[in-house]
Amino acid sequence: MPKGEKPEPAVALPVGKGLTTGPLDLSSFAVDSAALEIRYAMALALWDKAGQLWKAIQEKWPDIVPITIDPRKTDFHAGKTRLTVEFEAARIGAIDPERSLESFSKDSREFVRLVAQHLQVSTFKRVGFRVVYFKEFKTKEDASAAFASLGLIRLPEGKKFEIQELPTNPSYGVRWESEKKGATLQCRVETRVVDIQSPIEMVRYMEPIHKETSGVVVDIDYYTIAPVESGQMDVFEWMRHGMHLIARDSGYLFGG
Amino acid sequence: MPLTGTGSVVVPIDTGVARFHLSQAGAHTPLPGTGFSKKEDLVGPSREVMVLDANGVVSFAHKVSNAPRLSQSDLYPVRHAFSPEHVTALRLLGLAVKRTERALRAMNDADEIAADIEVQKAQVLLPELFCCRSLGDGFGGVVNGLLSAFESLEGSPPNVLQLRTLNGVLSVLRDKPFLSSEEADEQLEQLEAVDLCLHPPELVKFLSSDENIGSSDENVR
Repeated sequence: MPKGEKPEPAVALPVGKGLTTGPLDLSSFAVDSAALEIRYAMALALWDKAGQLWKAIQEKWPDIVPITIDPRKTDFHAGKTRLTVEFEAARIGAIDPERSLESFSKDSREFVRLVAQHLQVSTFKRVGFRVVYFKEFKTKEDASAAFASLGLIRLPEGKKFEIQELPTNPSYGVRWESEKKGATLQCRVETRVVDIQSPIEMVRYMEPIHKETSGVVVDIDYYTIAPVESGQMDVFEWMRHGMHLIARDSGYLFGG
Repeated sequence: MPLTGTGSVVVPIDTGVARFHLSQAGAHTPLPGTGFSKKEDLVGPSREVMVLDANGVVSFAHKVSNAPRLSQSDLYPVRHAFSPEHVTALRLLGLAVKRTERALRAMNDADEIAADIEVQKAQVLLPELFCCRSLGDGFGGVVNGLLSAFESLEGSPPNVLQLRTLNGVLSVLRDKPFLSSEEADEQLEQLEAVDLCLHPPELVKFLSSDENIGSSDENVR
């Protein structure tokens, strides 16, 4: 590099969904998925109230389709949203939610309200909010290079385990916990493979699908440890505070 | 996760990022010595412990958490992320609780004038608190009940028991502003138990006039 020239910042290679050239920071990532989970003491009312609960949920999400129905677990999906109610936990998850998570937070508040009301849950043992960000790169190597440029971990040089190639899919994870709350942060390189062979009857109508996507994932889980009474918790408000914390405190990953 | 061997084994399930739940079905690798398989969960760590007895029967026990309770400031730590109603309610409820506490202290010191002033200062916060009722039906119900309770005193200072109850209800509301209607009813019952009327005087008057109408109807018959 010639003298006086500034080093190149970590640059994401622009290919595919939501990619732009520029320095790597959280705003350049797409929101891949979000989930909210509540845990509670065993809610035996699920045996009596499952029908009423799901009927109430159906009023809010008319297109729910069952996935699992058994006495211990009821699981539905509606479009890109998945809703699960179990004896000791309930969760709502969304794939590709909007960036602000405004609508997902409102849905979560309504879902939690209905679950707490029908299963007579007054105390949550844990409330967790997880959001996964993804940034796609052209190749696995590009993704690994972008990850390495963050300087989160020190990769060993040279041949290791009799393998000359550089390590792939590196991962960095940290957890913070107090008596009351906790957060887990992971940053990793991920390669996602979709390989669907069409059944013989469908060959005429459906091409086989093979897609490989590599990228950097930032995966953040923010949760409570101390019990929370339902009257203390407004899920929409809590998630909004969580999103502010995530935006503020994950900045260090990118040198902020 | 080591599950081999005999005798009672207690294995914490909190294994960091990868946390496991047990399920009998599924394509996961069965854990040795059990008919269960491990399955990665969606969100965060667990506070459960898995107990495997000598017969190989797996059961779950929940660790009783000694962690302190979460306060509103623990749950909602970012000042600029608050909704206007939430932050206003917390501010006003904090003031109301402090003022009723001061009133109680003044009463203990036999300073009834100071107590009355503090009670009046607490009362004037209620209309603005009522404007925050979008926080929930429970919140609106309790604030409405408190408004009527103060009005029902008709300017007289509350007695010590009433004041203590008012302070208690305000404290609960500060801690649990998103309380349900059922939880709100519990708080209102406490106010009623100390002879505070929870209905607006106009409604009480209207209902008593209904009784008069009813009785006059009977006289006509």
